Amino acid sequence: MIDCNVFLGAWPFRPLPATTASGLVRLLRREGVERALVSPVEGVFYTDPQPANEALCAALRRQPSLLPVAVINPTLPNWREGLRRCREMGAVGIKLHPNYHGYDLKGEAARQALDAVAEAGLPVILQMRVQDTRAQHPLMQAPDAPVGDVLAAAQQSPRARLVAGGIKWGEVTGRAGDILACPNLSVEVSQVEHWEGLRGLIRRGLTERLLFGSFAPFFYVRSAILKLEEAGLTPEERGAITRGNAERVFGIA
Amino acid sequence: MIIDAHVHIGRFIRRFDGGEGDATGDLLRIAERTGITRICAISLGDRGYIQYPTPEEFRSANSHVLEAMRVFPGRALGYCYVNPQHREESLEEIERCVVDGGMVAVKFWVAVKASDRRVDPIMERAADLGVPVLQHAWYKTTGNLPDESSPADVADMARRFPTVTIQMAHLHGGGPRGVADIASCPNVVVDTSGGDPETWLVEFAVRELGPERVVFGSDAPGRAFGVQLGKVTGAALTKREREMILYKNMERILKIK
Repeated sequence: MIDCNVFLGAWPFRPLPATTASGLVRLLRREGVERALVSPVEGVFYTDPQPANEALCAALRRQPSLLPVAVINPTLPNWREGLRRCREMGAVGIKLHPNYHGYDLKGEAARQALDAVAEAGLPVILQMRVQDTRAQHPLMQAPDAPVGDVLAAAQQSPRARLVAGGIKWGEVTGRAGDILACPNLSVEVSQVEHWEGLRGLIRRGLTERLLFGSFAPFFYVRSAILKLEEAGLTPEERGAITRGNAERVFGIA
Repeated sequence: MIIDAHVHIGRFIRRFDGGEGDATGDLLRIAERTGITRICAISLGDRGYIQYPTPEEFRSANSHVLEAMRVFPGRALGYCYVNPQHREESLEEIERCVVDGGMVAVKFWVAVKASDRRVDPIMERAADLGVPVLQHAWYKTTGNLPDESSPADVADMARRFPTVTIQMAHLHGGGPRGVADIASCPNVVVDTSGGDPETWLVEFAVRELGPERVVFGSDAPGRAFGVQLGKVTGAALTKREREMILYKNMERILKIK
């Protein structure tokens, strides 16, 4: 299994069960996750996420099952240099946090960044949220990135390989047709939660777009595993969602 | 065996295949895929979750629960939804559904805060009958509803009625502040429903309250059985603690086997 949305670092608002690379490997392996795409928690908060990216890549050097995903902030004048260095350091993808870095995904800064990342041959996770707005610290409230902005970004940058990270059930089902109309957009399912579950998304024709994600260590990995079990997946569906689609989108076969 | 202490049914919930009819059977079937064999079933209304139900609305919702109990005996354990704004009708409904109908608990949602004295006559009847009360509670950074209880309101209720077992809903809605609020109230247990399957909080609640005061609840179908179950089965707990949370505590509270 490949987990497409994992974080490494300390979260300021509560303890996490793993804050080191080796701890993260143990946490994931216990649940059967063999490889994971990992981005830095500090990348959410640093104005310039580059130091967080460098620390991440250094921490993952001795953990080949953890693949680095670097954060860039396209509102900075030096983001292109950050992108170049992240690529050199072996990042397999880029993550954007528009709500924490204060821009919208359909704006010019994001468009330029997405086009440049596409040119560099890397996929981009558009992280729509990290924490439920109802549970955020009162002095640290970050509104969700709207699903409409994600779709607009996919349309504006058709060459970019995009992943909607942290998208919710209603956002996927409410815009399933629009998502299917964007061949460059995939859906990471760590925050998709509904009693119909993944079966409901498969019924809407999204099988080839779904990427397994646990959101560890923020969320229990077991919750993501049970989401798979609850859906009663065929071997083909399970293979696509937990491995094949990720290998294709991230080019990590 | 797993008992899910917090599940919503409702006539408005569509069947899994989109067809007509009651979706309770579909809910039970999906619950069983992750080992959940019994659900505590609540209806908050026939046309959706109704914040301030009229007596007619809570009677009709509870009638649906009674139907589900008849169709799925032993698997659907009914909770009686009442609105303390309607004292006499709520008390009559408890007679109809709990005393005569076999429901096992009373449910308060967001019509009146738990600290509001209008709940007292109903709490007194729950005390007489020896049945627990499920009370919704949350701390929302974005702001609670006007009459939505916080865990502090629940603690106030618990101190007024120390002989009534109160199942405070939504561990992940109240967070660590909510756990702290009820820590000194031994008659309050917290269910694990509410919000995303965030790590740490279940272990924290077990440490602060003891495993006998934490019960598994999913809040399905708004949430998913498996995702919410992962909060307990994925947490760093002993086998004994996990068994208590997954079914033994509810067997004790509801006096069932």
